[in-house]
Amino acid sequence: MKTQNPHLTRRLRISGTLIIAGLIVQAGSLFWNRPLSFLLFVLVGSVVLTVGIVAYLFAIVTLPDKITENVVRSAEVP
Amino acid sequence: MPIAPVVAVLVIAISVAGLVVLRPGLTAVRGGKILAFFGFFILPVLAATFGFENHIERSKQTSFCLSCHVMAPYGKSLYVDDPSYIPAAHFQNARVPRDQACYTCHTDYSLYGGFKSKIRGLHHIYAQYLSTPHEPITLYHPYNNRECLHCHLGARSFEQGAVHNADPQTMIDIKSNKLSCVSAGCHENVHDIRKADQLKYWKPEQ
Repeated sequence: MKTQNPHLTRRLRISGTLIIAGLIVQAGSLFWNRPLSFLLFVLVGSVVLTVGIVAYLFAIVTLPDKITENVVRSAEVP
Repeated sequence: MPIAPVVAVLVIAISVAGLVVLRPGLTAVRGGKILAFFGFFILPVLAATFGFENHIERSKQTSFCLSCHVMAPYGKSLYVDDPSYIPAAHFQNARVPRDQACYTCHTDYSLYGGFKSKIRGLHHIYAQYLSTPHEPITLYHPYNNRECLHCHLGARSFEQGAVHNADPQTMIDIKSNKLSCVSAGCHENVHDIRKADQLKYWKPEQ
């Protein structure tokens, strides 16, 4: 069974949370047709989203997936 | 682009990203890595692009411009019951799309102009929400004939108009923006909000 590097897992969670937060802000701004909603989309949604994407790309580039092979021995253990 | 597909892409992006956040172990295998790349990069970029395009399109709407309090009298002026009022005549006779009436004649305003115009757009938002706009508001530059000519250029009523051709130089000056379409004695009745209380207004049938 393959398990993920815990550092990469943490970084993925952080970047993913930022991306989801940015997307939710962007989605919310689409239902409000005022100049402020455009600013909300660009200055909050897009910035948070960009930080999340950059964090994700940074994570997969700088922290190579150190997959450890965990052999499930329980089946083998008598 | 309509809002429904934009929201659909956003929801899919959020769902895929959420799945990877909740189960990061998925990325231990190749398929999971591809899923994460879609959820964390491809779909969010796509959703943001569609969302931005949707916002830009919606900001051309008359209701968007009139959402600022200071613009209300200008919106009201579109209903003046007097055909000599150029914006009102264009709006009421559907010579401009009613849902994009402001943008059709002010194509270089704030968001749609150059860098300086965009900065002014930010200042407008500041003035609307955090300060008080200077009233009456005025254009930053004299009205450009280009806004009229992008429809009227080549039109028979414009090209063969008696006043436009009263002397040969007039038409040249109009087309080169030396003589403004809204000059005194020409089409000078535009958004004259100072007389707003003295004018009659058209009430469209619901």
